[in-house]
Amino acid sequence: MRSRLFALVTAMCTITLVLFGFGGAAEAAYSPMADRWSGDSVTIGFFGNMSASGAFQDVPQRFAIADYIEDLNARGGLLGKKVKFVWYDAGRDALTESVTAVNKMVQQDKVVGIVGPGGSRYALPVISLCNDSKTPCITIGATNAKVTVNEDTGKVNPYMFRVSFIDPYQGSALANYAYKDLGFKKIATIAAVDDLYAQGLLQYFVDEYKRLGGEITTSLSYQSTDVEFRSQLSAIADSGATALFAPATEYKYAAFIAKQAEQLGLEFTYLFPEAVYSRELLENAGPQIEGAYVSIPMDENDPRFDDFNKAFDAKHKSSGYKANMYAYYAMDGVMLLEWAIKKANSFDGEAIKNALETAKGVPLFTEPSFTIEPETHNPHNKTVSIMRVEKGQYKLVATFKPGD
Amino acid sequence: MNLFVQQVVTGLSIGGIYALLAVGYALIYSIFKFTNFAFGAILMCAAYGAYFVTHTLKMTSLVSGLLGAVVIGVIVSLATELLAYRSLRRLKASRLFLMISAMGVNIFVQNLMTIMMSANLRSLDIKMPFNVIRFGKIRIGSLDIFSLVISLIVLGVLWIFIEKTKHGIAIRASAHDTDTAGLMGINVNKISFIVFAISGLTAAISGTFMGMKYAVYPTLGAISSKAFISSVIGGLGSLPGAVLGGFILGVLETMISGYISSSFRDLFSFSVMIAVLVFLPNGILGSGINDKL
Amino acid sequence: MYLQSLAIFACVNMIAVAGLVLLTGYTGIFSIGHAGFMAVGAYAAVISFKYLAVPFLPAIIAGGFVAVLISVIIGYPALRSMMAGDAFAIVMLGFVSVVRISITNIKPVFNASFGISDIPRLSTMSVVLAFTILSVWFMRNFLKSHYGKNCIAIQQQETAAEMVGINVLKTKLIALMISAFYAGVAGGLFSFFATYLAPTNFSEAKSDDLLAAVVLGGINTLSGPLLAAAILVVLPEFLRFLAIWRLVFYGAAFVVIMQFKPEGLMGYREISFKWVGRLYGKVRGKARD
Repeated sequence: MRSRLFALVTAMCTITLVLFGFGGAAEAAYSPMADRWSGDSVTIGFFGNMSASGAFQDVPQRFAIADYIEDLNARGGLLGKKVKFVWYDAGRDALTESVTAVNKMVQQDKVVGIVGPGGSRYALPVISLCNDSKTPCITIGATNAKVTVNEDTGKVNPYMFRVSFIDPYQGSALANYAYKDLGFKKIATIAAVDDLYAQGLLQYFVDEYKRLGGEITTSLSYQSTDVEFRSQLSAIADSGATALFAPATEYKYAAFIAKQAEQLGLEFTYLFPEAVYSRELLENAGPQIEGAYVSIPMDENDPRFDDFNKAFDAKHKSSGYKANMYAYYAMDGVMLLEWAIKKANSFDGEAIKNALETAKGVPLFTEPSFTIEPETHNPHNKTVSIMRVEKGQYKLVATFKPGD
Repeated sequence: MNLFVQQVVTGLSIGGIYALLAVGYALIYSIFKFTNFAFGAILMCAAYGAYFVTHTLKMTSLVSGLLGAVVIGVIVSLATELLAYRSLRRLKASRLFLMISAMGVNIFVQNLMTIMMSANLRSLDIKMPFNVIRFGKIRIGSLDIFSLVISLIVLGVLWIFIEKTKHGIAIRASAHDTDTAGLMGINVNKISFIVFAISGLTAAISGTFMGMKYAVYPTLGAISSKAFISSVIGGLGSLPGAVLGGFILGVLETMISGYISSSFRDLFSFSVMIAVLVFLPNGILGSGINDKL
Repeated sequence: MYLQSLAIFACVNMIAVAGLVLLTGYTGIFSIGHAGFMAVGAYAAVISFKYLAVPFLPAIIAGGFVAVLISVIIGYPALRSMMAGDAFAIVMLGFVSVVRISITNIKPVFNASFGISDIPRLSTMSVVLAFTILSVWFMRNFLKSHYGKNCIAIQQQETAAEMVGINVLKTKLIALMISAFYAGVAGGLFSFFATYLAPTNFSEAKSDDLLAAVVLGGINTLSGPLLAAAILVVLPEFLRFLAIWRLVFYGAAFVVIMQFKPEGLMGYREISFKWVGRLYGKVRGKARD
């Protein structure tokens, strides 16, 4: 009796799954393009990490995009249609949830374009989904080179774009700045061994720094779940380095490293990449990172951001988040998508993609003149700003375009 | 040589935190024979309790911070016991079910806090003179010494409580055999309350110190997996074992990342741990537990 | 594509859980590191496909066998020393970390933390479904065979099982090997659908999900955990309408299920439809009142 029931259940599950799976496949892999804008509104999607560690990056992005779209609708929408915004959290399991989120956005919400995600971990699994469904995806913080260019074939991923730095670009810019402008002849590095972003930057920084003739005194690592760095810091001090390059994907690592160095009575000149830049870093470890250098794409103190910051902080006070650089990136992304849709004068994925490839001198939120390289889909010659922490504030010390 | 001593000192100060956490862990394991995966969540809530008192109520002394943490830690710990574990225990459910329930509590609390408090780091502004104490070239922060001393005092008080008081004897009896203890007139529910309260207390104290050393944030509790490892190395369910395991793990991790390889650190520390377990299946100080699923 | 991707993830989860049922649900060894075997299988399959030009299906099977090999290396000393349950669990926890750390440190071929991207999407619905049916069918037969009965005996009373002449070590090891094979295959199928493979994909959270499926499904049953495995994939998606509160409710669901079904969804029995009859009887009884 039991075995017959078991067989029955197995059969039922199988049938459900078949209907589920093949049913989806049978209705053609993707619904026709025109479905996406046949109604009187169109949808723009966003997904990313909104629940795990590091959610302070993607949640403000979500707020910024939602606010911008609200504003856009108040201005009359896009090509005469209202714009709707959907977002999905992929924080619990980056890979699985990114895939399902993008599938859901493409198939059920019928998005005309995706802005985001903020991290390469979330962008890498969805490349083929965006390409196959012809959905333009403008990532706003995914810095890994593989997001837009296929590593094996060297070909560009046609529907993937980005507004952020790429790791080789920022890594070598920082190496140049450290060696030539700051005159650091030797430096130590510390980076999370299991973090895509930190390792990417580290690799290009070290290559460029060595090429210039600098000496890496020691290269240490940690796991991204770690909170304790004193052992590594003691060893770094022992190696004779006074400058420390610490690429990290969240500002918490920078805060911990600086605080623990202080507890050991050690003083380093820190060099951080853009991901650790935040006002919260100053609140948590301001005195400890005095004198540190951070590279970012824009100067947050620039008065042109004041209005945005004020409006954002007032509107989202209860959430515990303030306007940050990630929100700026999101503004760049959504403005670039808006520009492309208007330029293409169509919601067709292919037309938007073609428009994006011709983006040249587009005024965006952070970059007054933004250009996309058609062969890599990366920003062309993006501005690098170097900020120095002075008296608990970020001060702009240099701005340059490495390509000049 | 200086570096070596420095690393040992650092390792001991890390070990102190692990030890205190491991005791809270081991205490529950010794009586209920299950791994309290919600321990990290309790620790994190307690740290937010300290943050609330010092930041919102502006009472920035260490005592008020600790008090805030202890209140929240004990409340959350007792709430988990009442809402998630008690009825399962009454049904004599297998400890695996308790573990999954605990896992659920952990997911629940952590995500709730991410929404309520945002994922940002909060620093605990406890007013305490901070300086670096130097012995020749060996340096140690006063906070480390202070937290180590407090941890040891708490462990000492706990030991006296368990060894000398009536409730302590009842706890030990329950740990030995919960059913018989119940038959002998020990109120097992009352004991479980005391045990969860103590466990919340240790979580709160270590949570406060971790908040001061690092920061307060929703995934702060992730460090409790180290407590689990420490108590396995030392011998599951054994309190002195948990303390020993905590210090061993702290020093071991520091030594490995200082001298062997910082990128392979966990590989080595887990290998050592596995080796210990292969030769001493019950941990260093553990006694044989006939454990069943 | 959306429903299909959910179905595929559910199937992959079911394969891994079917293996874990043998180890945890029947033999009583609990593992909080099963995602480590998924990682091993996934890397073995993808690397043999990409670098050694092994065709897709043999590559998946090869992934499974590599996972078996690793399981023997880790499991034999651990099981032989008669580790207590939690000690074995911690060895498995260590094992996931060891796998992840090893991979993140190997730059050539494994590509360290950057992961392997651009894997062709070969795990189609039909392939995954075929694997799921085959593996569930095989597991069901195995559990009914005398090997399966041996496993239950060990779970119930290890010493007694030994008395009646069951080779405890061998039986446990076989259970571990088979469950590792299942996890390895599941990992391979997963990666050929997700198209991107990185060490962080198979974290402790993944192991927790697998164990949760087995426990929520119930001990000594196969259909319960399979059901739970599918539910655990669909549930977070289903809870999307709760927006930011999604994972709060996901966690609460664990606690609530345990409160109301403390033996798991299907403890000690397979899915049956008797409750339909009972419910019908109750409704009729009520109607009569």
